[in-house]
Amino acid sequence: MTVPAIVMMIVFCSLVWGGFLSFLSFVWRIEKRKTKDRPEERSF
Amino acid sequence: MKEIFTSRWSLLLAALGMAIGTGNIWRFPRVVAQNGGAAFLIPWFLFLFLWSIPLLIVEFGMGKKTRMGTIGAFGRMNPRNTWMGGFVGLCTLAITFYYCVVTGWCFRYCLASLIDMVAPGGPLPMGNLWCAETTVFWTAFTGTKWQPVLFHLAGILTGSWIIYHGVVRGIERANRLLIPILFVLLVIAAVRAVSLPGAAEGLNFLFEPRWGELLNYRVWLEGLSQSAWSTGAGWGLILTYAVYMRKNDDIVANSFLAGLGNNSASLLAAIAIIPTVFAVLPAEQALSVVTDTGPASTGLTFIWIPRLFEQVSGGRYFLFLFFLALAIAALSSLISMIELGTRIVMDFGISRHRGIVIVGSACFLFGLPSAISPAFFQNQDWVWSVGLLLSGLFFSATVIRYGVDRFRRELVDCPDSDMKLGPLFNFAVKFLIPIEFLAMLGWWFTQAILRFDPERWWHPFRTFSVGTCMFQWGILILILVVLNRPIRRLLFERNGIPAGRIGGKEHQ
Repeated sequence: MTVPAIVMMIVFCSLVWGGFLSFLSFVWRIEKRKTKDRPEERSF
Repeated sequence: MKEIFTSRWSLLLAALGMAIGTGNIWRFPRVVAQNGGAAFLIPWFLFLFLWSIPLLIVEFGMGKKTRMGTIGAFGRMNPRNTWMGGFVGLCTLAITFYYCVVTGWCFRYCLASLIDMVAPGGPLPMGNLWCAETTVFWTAFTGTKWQPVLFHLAGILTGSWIIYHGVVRGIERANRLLIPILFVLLVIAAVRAVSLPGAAEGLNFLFEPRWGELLNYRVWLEGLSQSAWSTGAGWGLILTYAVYMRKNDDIVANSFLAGLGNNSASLLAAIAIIPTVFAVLPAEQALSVVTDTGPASTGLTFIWIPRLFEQVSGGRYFLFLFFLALAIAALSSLISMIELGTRIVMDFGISRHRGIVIVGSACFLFGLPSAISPAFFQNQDWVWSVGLLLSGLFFSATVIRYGVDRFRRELVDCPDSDMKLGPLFNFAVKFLIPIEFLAMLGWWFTQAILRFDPERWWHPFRTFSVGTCMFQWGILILILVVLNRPIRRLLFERNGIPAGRIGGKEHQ
């Protein structure tokens, strides 16, 4: 693979998958906190 | 009994199931290949934030606040706009009619690849999928007529059976199972593809930045169109799922997750397909294969993928996994489409079970012409996929009329929100979405006039003409505008729902 292709692959995979996983962990932490605060509201 | 998703994760999985469909797997890799690889990924990623996510937020807000399907939600936002909700709902239902057919194709190929996997050269009446003559298989399958109709029915029955069980036992359970499996299958396919000898050439083709392409307006418009169609923004599907959101659930983070999850699946599909093509075929042939549209844009998926996997070790197993992923993606989207129709019917006071029978029967009957005639299928795909852009505009127009800032403050930025929206949302809904709509509609109509049907672009009965879009949209809009008042009366007054603008003390 060429260097520009490797760079672009890293950039787009980080943006798309990194963005998705970051939001997923953000929501996960919030839901965990909510469950702790309100145990009657269990998620998942 | 009021139906509500039991958790936020259930809603998110359902939203991902809605967004990730066959378009992620068979359209995205082809469009990337046709439009400059990494250069295309820039507009595709940008328009996620400039078109898709603002519209997803609007849909979540309207569904959560009004707790009604598309027609009721538009009517409660503004009674004069009830017909717009009708257009959004019927446009998506028109897509559902032929999407059931597509789901049937995916089921057929999944079954054929399973039989080939467990019994190579097995007793398939139409011949073996596992052979070089995949075109023969496709032609034999579609040529029989009864087979596409049978599998079309199988798609509807499967989707309806899930919806029949309601939100929690049907939609929620199905998506909890289907979406994780889909992601695992896509990851397996992508890892297998990049580990093939020669796959680096495909990755090069996919990610090599051809910056000059960014000066080509076509790349930007294709990026916008792909983002608009792939995420399901403006279809009314997220609005329908938002009806079943819990009262305190957040809107903004959920919209970002749905959009980014959809794009993640698209990228995985491209990494699974393009390197496989380049690993198996010489570069020039690979290029023509990944850009081959084939009958009803299915060339790469149904004609080439079986041929390619034939040349990969363990290919039989991976072919089955690929078509299983495709069938799951199709089914999870079909569920949301059938639910959209059922929700609309339920808003008129009809029970879910009766609603399913009505919507399922309509899908079967109105999908029959698409199952039998490829030309009719292509016409419907053209008319209603471009019609979805109009649906997006109707969402934007309704929120503008309601007051974008008011919408943001009252319906989205609730006290329980995990993320607050900035004023960029106002700008996106007020200006960007209408401008993007005009650009996309102008682009697709220009394509129709100059490329698809230059001589008779005005003709109302041609497959890819501007005239056929205007004719079919015009009839639908005319009927809906004339029936605006009776529909409002049936929907609101008979059911004791206060017609008119939402907001104020009664809705707090």
